[in-house]
This record gives sequence, C-alpha cells and structure tokens, in this order.
Amino acid sequence: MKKCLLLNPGLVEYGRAWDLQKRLFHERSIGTLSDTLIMLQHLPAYTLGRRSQPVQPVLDDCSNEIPVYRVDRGGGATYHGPGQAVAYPVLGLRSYTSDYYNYLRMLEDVIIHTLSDFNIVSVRVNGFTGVWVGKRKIASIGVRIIRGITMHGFSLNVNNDLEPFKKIIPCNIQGVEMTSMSEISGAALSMPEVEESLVHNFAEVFDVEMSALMM
Amino acid sequence: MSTKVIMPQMGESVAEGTILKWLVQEGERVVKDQSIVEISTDKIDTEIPSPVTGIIEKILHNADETVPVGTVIAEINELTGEVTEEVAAEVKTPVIQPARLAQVTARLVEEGGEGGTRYSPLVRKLAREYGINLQSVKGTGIGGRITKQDLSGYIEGIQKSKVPSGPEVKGTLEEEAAGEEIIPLTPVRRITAERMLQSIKSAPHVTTTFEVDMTAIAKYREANKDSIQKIQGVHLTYLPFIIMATASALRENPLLNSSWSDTGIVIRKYINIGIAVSVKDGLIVPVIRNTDSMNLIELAKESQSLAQRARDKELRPDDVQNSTFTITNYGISGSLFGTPIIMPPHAGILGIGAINKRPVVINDAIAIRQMTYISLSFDHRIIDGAQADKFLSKIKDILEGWGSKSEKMPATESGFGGVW
Repeated sequence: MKKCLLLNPGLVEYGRAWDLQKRLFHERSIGTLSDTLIMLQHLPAYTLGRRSQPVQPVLDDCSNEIPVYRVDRGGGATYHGPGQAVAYPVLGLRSYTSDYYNYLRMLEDVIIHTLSDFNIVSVRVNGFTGVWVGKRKIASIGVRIIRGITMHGFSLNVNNDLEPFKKIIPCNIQGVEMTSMSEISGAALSMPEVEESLVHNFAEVFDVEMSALMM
Repeated sequence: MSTKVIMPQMGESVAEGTILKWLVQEGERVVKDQSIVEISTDKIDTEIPSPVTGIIEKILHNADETVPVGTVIAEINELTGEVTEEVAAEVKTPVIQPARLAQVTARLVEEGGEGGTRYSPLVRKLAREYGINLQSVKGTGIGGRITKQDLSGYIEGIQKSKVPSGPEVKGTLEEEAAGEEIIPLTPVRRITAERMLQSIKSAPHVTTTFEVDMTAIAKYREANKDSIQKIQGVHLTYLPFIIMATASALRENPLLNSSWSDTGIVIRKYINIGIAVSVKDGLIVPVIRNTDSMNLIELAKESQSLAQRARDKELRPDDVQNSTFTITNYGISGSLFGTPIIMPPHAGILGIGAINKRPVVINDAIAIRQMTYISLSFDHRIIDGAQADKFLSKIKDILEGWGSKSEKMPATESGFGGVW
C-alpha cells in the first residue's frame, strides 16, 4: 500500500507553515520525500487567494490586529485560528486521481466522514466547494497544484472563534454564514480526537498507510 | 504550424478561469510540458503546461483576465524535428539535466528566430564556450549586431566586477598573450560548485576522526576473496564492509540519518547510502537504496555496479536520488584524513582514508596492523560532538570486531583492494 508521512507540528504561525510547505513541496517534487500530510493549527490569520475578489472589509479595518496573507492557492478569503483543524496534503496527485477536481471531492469526503464520526450530518453543494451543515459552511478548501503536486488543502472549524469570519466575505461568497463543530454539538470537542479522525479518514479515502514523523 | 493553448476545463461545474501570471513571453522558446502560465479556477491554482515545443507566437489574454473555459489564451508556433530530439536526448543523465537543458534552450534561442543572422557563427561559438547569454551583450556592429570585440569587452567587464580584490584578470579571447586560460564551466562543475557552496553556507561543519584497525577484515578478505570471486562473481573490497557498518550505525543513531528544517529535524526511517564516485567531469553520488537490508555480497555487487554505471554515464534518475547519508572513499587516492563537505540536505558524510600498515600499540607491545582513519563531517545544528563520536565508535566496533561473528564468507587478497 502506498505510504504517506504524517507531520503534526502543532500550533504554527501561518507564514512559517507556508515556508514548511514550500520546502516539503520542493523535496516531494525532487523525490527525496514521500507523499506527506501536514495536520496543524494556525495562530489567528486571514488569508486571501490571488484571484481578484470582492473588497474584503478587514483590509480597511484599522483596528484589525490579525495578519493578512495573500497566498498562492485557489479559493477566496478565509480565517484560520486555534481550534480549527488545518490539513495540507503534499501529494503526487497522479497516483490518486487524474482529475484535479476529483481531488477536491476526495478532500470533501474526508471531512464529511470525519463529521459523521462525531454525529454531525454534512453535505457538499454542487458549485460551492467545501463542506456544509444545513445552510452554514463548516469547512473550506483551497489548493495549488503544480507539476502534479499539491499544496495547501482544507480547514475544518472545530472549536475556533467564528467572530473573525465576520470581517471578511468568506470564500468570496456574499452572505455565507460559518459554523463549527462545537457550535453544532453545543460543546467543545477534543482536537486530538478530531485530528485522529481526519487522519484515519484521509488514509481511507486516499488508500494510504500513514506513518507519523516525530516532531 | 500554430498550436492553441486553451483555458482548460478543470471540473464539471467550472465555467471559467482566471489568468494569474504568464511565465513566458511572446517570442520565447518553450519545450513540451514546460509550465507557461499560472491560472486560478474556483478552488484550484495551478499551471498550464505547453502542449508542444515551439515559440510563443501570441498571448491573447493577459494576467488578471477571467475567461470562459475553452478560450484560446495563447498560440504556439510548433517546432518539430531535431529540436525536440536534442532536448529529449539530454534527459538521460539526471544530474546535469536542468542546467544542460537551459544551456541548450539558450543556444537555440540565439540561433533560432531570425534565422541566425543576428549573431555571426564565431560570436555564437564563443558565447557558447564562455557560457554567455548573448541577449545581455550590447552590439555595436551594423544593425546592432554583436561583434567579437563586443563579446571581448563584455567578458572583461564581468571579470572585473567579479574580482574585487586580488590580481586583475585580463580575460581576453587571445589566451596566449594574457598568459591565462579560461576553462568554461561544465554543467557538472557548475552544479557541484553550487551544492558545495550552499552546503558550507547553511550547515556549520565539524569533522571528527577515529582510528580503525582493519586487520580483522583484511584477514577475512584474505581467506575468502578467491572463492567469492569464483562463486559470486564479485571482487570483494573493503568498501562493502564499511557500508554495512555505517548502515548499522545509522540504524542505532537516527540523528545521523536526518535533515535540518526550521520546524524540526526530519528523521528518515529509510537508509539510502550514497557513495561518492569520481568521474571525468567531477563527482557523482549514486545511491544504494535500503542499505541496511543488504548483506555483504549484495553490497559489494550493488556498489560496484553503480560505480561502473556512473563511469559509463548509464545512471538512471532513481540511482542518484533520495540518499540519506554519504560515504566518500578518498583513501583510494592516498589521502589519510579529510574534512569532506556534507551533501545537502544530509546531516553528515563519512570519509574513509587510505588503509596502511602501521606500527600500533596493543597490550603494551608494538604490533603491525592495517590501520585507517575514518572522518565524519557533521551538521552541528543537528548533531553534537558526543553523538557524532558515538556513531563513529559504533562503526569502529563493528569493523574491528569483524569475523568474531561467524559469517562464513570468503575474504580477499591482502592489503587495500583499490578501486571499488
């Protein structure tokens, strides 16, 4: 079975995690590294994709203390913060699928199965990549695929603060409301348990054997 | 023949895409599969590869434009025949591919396009030899042509600016008059130079040395070399013993099998030892995969096969990638000690010195033994002296204790076996 390395560096500032990704991407692309899944959490940060987008309120907000990054991934604006599970698979996509958009569907499956493990029913919505609970969005996806290798990935709101989402137009969808696992279940969840479920479902959907790297 | 580049359909429900950035310009030569533009569609940022080898004829839509799927965004004038073949032929030797490809592409750019009229054959030849990009040279000839004098002046200019202190390099094209010679940099030399510099700049190097008594192994070889040659068809040198001991020591000291990264030390669970080989142009490091799973004879066969293929330029891309540690055997050329440079992104490199008979003290008496020095250069960000010495100590123990485990293997002729 194909092997995949699991890296969990814990709570990492966005810029440093991006540097780590770039380095792993480089090693993966020259073949000195196997497929790798990075699971982590970020210190508070806003990130914007590169496509022109509706003007984001946060960019005009002088009281904003949360750093804003413009990032080389697809998708629109989003917020990352502690309590949100973030996953960056750095994979040679050709072994898994030849269709880039199928990759997004696979990531959605991972998240949907994970939510189901915690008794939360969620769906994908045609034309709106991501994972939805009712009318609210619980997970966002944005990737970059170069030379067949993936970067960036998805974020799933577990226990994180949802307020900062109000200062942006998340995923460039006007009027979208964000939610989290703790908001839906009415109680905080254990991050390690959620991460474990994500990793387990990732291994199943992508049919890989995970091996964890000590960090 | 014009080939169209279109905004791809990347998903069923995706109707349009945005051009983020063009990676090439009109008039630029591209090869098949080379990334030419960065695009963004819904949730995916990616690059479009060129469908053919040729010249970018026209760019029809610019950065930040969003166009429907299927829109023609560029046109390429396809070139067939020797161009593609020449480029394809370079793919065989992976170590030098990127630089050589760039060189070939640069040469084609000079010679193609306007039918080679802008640069005289002499100018082109000289530019090739000195590795000069003609597009950066100002031409003072008719119609902006670059003359031999322009090239000469350009080279002087570069050498003056690159040599701030020390003797002034005259660098004229008439070598005899100046008393100096410029040897153009081969791609292998260029890459080796870059790697060496990068390694020294990033990893603080410290070298520690141990003395190893190889007499037990020498005896082993002596007793068994001939039958191994007969039965296994391989010449057993000292190197496989050292590789085996190193693999074991790496197993027990995983920090030596790692890489530095800002977010943590990346320890590799697989052991692939690279063996530095001297070839005509410089150094190549073919790799023995899963070194710790091989026995002595297998290591002997694999290391010799790789060395031969390296010298015959028959290495495959897999043969030079993915190493986790390196061994360099400078003892072959007589050196006793070395301070080898780590091959990035490894944590260390083991140098093996010449094996010579020396008088040594054993139990307060003088004995003549086959001795060698092994030197480990290590990345002091990752490893401290104590750990490095523990690693070398383990290698020493294994080598000196050889034969006290009962491996019935033929030994070889006495003395150092020479080239591996």
